[in-house]
Order: sequence, then structure tokens, then C-alpha cells
Amino acid sequence: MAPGARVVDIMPRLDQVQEGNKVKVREIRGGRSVRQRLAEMGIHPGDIVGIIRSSVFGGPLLIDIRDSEVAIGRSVAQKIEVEVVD
Amino acid sequence: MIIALAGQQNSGKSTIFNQLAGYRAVTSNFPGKTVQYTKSQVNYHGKVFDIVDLPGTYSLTSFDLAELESRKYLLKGEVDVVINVIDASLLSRSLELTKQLMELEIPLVLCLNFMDDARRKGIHINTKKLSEVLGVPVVSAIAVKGIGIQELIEESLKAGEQKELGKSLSFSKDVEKVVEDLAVKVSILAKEWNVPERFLAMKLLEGDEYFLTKIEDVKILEEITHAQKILEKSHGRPSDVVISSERHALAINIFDEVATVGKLGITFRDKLDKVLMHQYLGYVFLALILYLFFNIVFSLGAVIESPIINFFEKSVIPAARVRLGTGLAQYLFIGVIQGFAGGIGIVLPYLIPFLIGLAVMEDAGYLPRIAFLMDTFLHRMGLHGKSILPLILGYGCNVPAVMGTRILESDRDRYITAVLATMVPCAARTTIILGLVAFFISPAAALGIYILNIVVIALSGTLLARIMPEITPGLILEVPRYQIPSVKVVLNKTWLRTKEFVFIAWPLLIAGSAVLSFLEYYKMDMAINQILYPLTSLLLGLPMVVGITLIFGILRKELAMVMLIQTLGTSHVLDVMSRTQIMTFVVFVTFYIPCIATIAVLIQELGKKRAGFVIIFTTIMATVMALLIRIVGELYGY
Repeated sequence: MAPGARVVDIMPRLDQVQEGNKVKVREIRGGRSVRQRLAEMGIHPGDIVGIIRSSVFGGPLLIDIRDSEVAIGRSVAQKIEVEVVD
Repeated sequence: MIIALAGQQNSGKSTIFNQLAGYRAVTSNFPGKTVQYTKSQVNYHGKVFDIVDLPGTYSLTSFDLAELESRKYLLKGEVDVVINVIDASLLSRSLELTKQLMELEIPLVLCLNFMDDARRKGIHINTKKLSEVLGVPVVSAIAVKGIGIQELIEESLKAGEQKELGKSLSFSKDVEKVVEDLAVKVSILAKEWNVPERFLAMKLLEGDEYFLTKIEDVKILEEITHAQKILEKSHGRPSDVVISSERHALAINIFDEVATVGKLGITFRDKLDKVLMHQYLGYVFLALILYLFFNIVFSLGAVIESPIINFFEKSVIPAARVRLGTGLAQYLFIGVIQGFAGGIGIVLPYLIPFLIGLAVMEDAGYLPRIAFLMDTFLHRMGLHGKSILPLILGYGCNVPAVMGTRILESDRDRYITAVLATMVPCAARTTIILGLVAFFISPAAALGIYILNIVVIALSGTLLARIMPEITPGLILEVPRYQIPSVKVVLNKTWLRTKEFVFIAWPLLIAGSAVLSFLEYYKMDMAINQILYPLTSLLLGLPMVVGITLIFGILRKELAMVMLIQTLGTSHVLDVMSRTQIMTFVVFVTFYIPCIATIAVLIQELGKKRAGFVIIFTTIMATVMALLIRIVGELYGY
């Protein structure tokens, strides 16, 4: 690494993750309403979710969160910062 | 004693309610301001009590209208026991609502429904231990099979008599301290509003708008902000996230303590979803399923419709003519009978099969999947997937469709979806499209109208979304398991929606018919034709006599066709109207002003101003589309 270069932490967002991956939710950006509606579905920072389906045409994602499946619109997924696990 | 059923959507709450109500004496529906809930008086071995089925709620936050309504009801202080119905296979998530319900300080009984499903998923729950941890009775149930219902009643009655509250489950120390400190500071308000102070403190920390906007005291508001800041500082996240994460952690801890999870293979659901939610195949199946659905409904409807209409046309009305002579009374009476017959002729044959079919799709778990599939398109328009559900309902009747927009989160989405729902051709308009276009021109032309309609709705939606460029909250929707629908629940849902037609639309339909007879009797149709001449004849190139039929159509859509045939003086419409004229007329009738019953519901749901906008908007759309048809038709010489 060049001297003086900084490690920039680029966090992928949920909508950028490929189908079949498991990710850990890092942060949920966006307003209180989105945060709380996600929390109602059992999705909070720190939770592990699996991506069952992520359509290529800007459609919604289908994710797996502790035995339940939730459809999440792309605009919502863009607000969720994640890190890929295993 | 009043027992309230509370639980998350898809927890099988309605099935439990129907099982309990198997012992029922009386069932009635409460129209809340925004949602309806069902109350039933139950007589169980001589003990009489009321059960109230609250709308499904994921939490007790104040975003969702249904959730707010449920919360308000629970806080009214009338409820003696809350039965919290949860899907046992989703125990850890469901416990978050349980925790919030326990904070309401009402005796609670936990009902673990879908125990068989949980077991199949490899989840084993130690109910005794769960009961100890929470300090409330826990009953396992498989509601569809009626298992656990008696025990649930007995435990609930006992809980109602003993009035024991569950254990208070604490958050981690630092958060608990902030909650408790704030609870003390808002205790006066809590007493005034009759809300448990801990519950209030928690909701305020979560930034609950309903409570926050009610507070006038600046000092208390400052205290709340201060408490929120403490949490934000120590946890590095917004205070609402801190609280919900605490609740989440607590739920997971309890889950780990009382349940074990085995390994799970590929299920039937996964296999089915691979096809039904596939990015291409999903749409093929959606089209196929909807095609079958409408085909069955309308062929069934047609079979039932004609004998009913015949009965009124051939027996009742001629009999009335003979008895009442030719005065105003006769005209009015026939109008009323026709309105009544129209209701029976349309509701029974088309609406009820439609609503039953819809409830079956809903209960089988297919509707959320439709929302998932349609989100791709609706998202582009500036709405989201859930808007599709009221729109589908619109093909049955626009009245429940407009009411169905309540499932949407934002006011703007509800508004736009309601406008679009009024443009969906309901059962009454379908009879016109089939009766005039499919019959006199061709079935393909009729299909063309439906496709044109979908295109126009999509364009209107895009346009309205651009005019109101608020960002839609985005789709967040649970996709539940597939299920074999229960007959009772399906019939109950069908009845609730039919009722919206019977009590709102039908009376207006009958009144409208009477008004029409009045106009007819005083021969006001000529004047109306004259007034509408510029629109009907000059602009759209239709015979002048159709003017009156358009007025009739506002009062009752299907009357537009009946009256057309009557005013033309022949059922051989093609002798007096060209194909282009028929198409133009039907397209105009399909899009223009919603019927009077729909207008009434629009006023109730959206207010007068917005209802007025719908009338203007749909009239413009109808005129533009009809004009287009006229130009194209005349160009090609049809």
C-alpha cells in the first residue's frame, strides 16, 4: 500500500449482495420509520440474514431472517449496510 | 369480561378467533376510524364473555394505522385479558411483540399456534419453561385443527379472574436506568392518559409520534430529548434502535433458553417458491393463475346472473307495472326494484365468487408473493408492491378496494393507489365490456380494453407519483408460509368485504335508481342530452342520446349499458352505432367518474377535496382515451 493511503471502509449494501449469500447487518441508514419497520420483521443491526432472491431488474429482494422470509424493496435494501459472512 | 386477541399478521389469529367464536352468541363488527375489528360474545359452559379480534400488528409502534388502532383499543382500559397469538415457528421474533404487550400491564396468555409447523421445522419449545420465564400462562395450539382451544379459553378465564401480571423483563442495566428515570418524569402524563408509565417512557424513547405530539410541556419534551441523547451517546445508534435492539436481544435470550433448533432440509415451500417467485417463471404463473381466477369467477357469475335478472325483469317489474299504473309512484317503485335487482344481479354472481377466490389466494399465502413480483414494476412507478392488492380487489368492486388502501403505510401511497383503484374495471363495468364490446365487436377487442386500462393505470400512477414526488416508504413485507385456507376464515373475510358493498354501495345504488326514475318521469333526459351534447357528440362522435346514459352510469355503472339499449330502442346496437362508437362509448364508461358509492367511500377515506380531484382526473382520462379511440377507429374506417 502506498504511504499515506488510507484504508477506506467501503461497506457493501444489501442490494449489492449476490443471491445465496449470508450477510450480517451493520447499520440501517434511513429514517426511523424504515428502521422500525425492519425491526418489526426481526431485522436489526447485528442480525444475520440470507439473500434468497435478488432480482436483476431493480426488483425487490427476498431475504431469510431466522426462519421467516421477508420481501424488501430495493430502495429499502439500499439503506442497509452489511458485511458478507462465511 | 373482555378478552382481546392480539398478534402479528399471519399468526393464525383469525383462525383462533373463529374457533373461539364457535361458542359464539353474537358477532358484530366495529368500524374503528381506520380499521374494523370483530367482537363476539361467547358462551362457554355457561360463562359469558366477549372476545375482540384486533387487527394484526407486528409491534405497538404508531406507524401503521392498524397498529395504532389496536394499541388505542388495548389502552382504553376495557380489556381484562390479552391473548397473544404467536406463530411458534417464529418464536423469537414474536416475543418482541409479547414483551411490548406485557408492558401494557394487562394479564396476558401466550398462545403458541402452529406448533406442528414449528416441530416440522425442527424447533422444540419447552412451554413450561417459557411460562416460567415470562410469568404468564402458555398454551400450545394448532388452531386449524382446533387443538388447544379449550385450554386457551380456560387459561384466559383464569387469568382474567386472578388478574396476575407477567414478570417485568429488564433490559441491560444502563438502558433500564434511562427508561426508569424517564418513567418517573412522565408519570403524571401517564396517569392522565391512563397509560402504564414504563410503556410510555419506552415509546417516547422510540420517538413515538402519537405520544410526542400530544405533549405540550416543553420541559418534559426536553427531558425526553435528553434521555434519547444518553442512549444515543452510549450506544452510538439512534435511541429507537437501542430500544428495539434491547427488546430483540431479550427475545433471543429467552428463545435460546426455552427452545432448541434442529437442522432443516429443503421444504415444499422452497420448491414452490422457486417457481412462483422466480424472476421469469413467477410472472408466467402469475398471469396463468390470475387468468384462471377471473375466468372461473366470471363464468360462474354468468351462470348465476341470468336467472336472477330474468326473475326481476320478467316477473317482479311487470307485476309492479300492472299494480301501480303509470304514475310517478310506479316509476319510483320500479327504480327502487331495479336498484335492488342490480345489487343482487351483480353482487351475488360476481362479487361474492370474486371475494371468495381472493380470500383463498390471500389465505393460501399467494397475495404477498404477487406483491413481491409486482414490486419491480410498481417501484418504477413510484409506489411499492403492496399497492397491487387493492388494485386487484378493484376488479371485484371499487368500494372495498378503496378501503383496502389502508394497508399502505404512507398517506401519499394510499391516495395514489385509491385513485388508481377507481380506474380498475369492477364487476359492473366488466358486464358492460363483455356485453357491448365482446358481444358486438369481438372478445379480442374486449381484452384490448383491459390491456389499455392497465397501461393507462400504469401511466396515471407514474404521473401522479411524479406530481407528488414523495419517496415511498418501500416494500417491507413478510412472505408467509403456504397454507390450506380455512373455510371459516375465507367466508368471514368474504363477508366483511361484501358488507362494505351491501351497506355502503347498495343503498346508494337503490337511491340512485330512484333518482333516475324521477328524471325519467319528468322527461329531463332530453335536457341532459342537450347539456352533454358538446362532449358526447361533438367531441366523441357518439349519438346524442347517450348523454343520459352517462349520468345513469355514475349512479350505477352497469346501467349505462342497460340505458343505452333502452334509449337506442334496440338491442341490435350495431344497427345504430358503428364499432368505433361502441368502443369509444365503452372506453369512456370504463374510465370516467367512479360510481356514486365509490365517490362516497373516497370522501370517507380521502376527504372531499381529493375525491373531487379523482372525479376531475378520471373524467379527463376518460375523455382523452375515448377521443383517441375515436380518432384511431375513424382513421381505419371501423
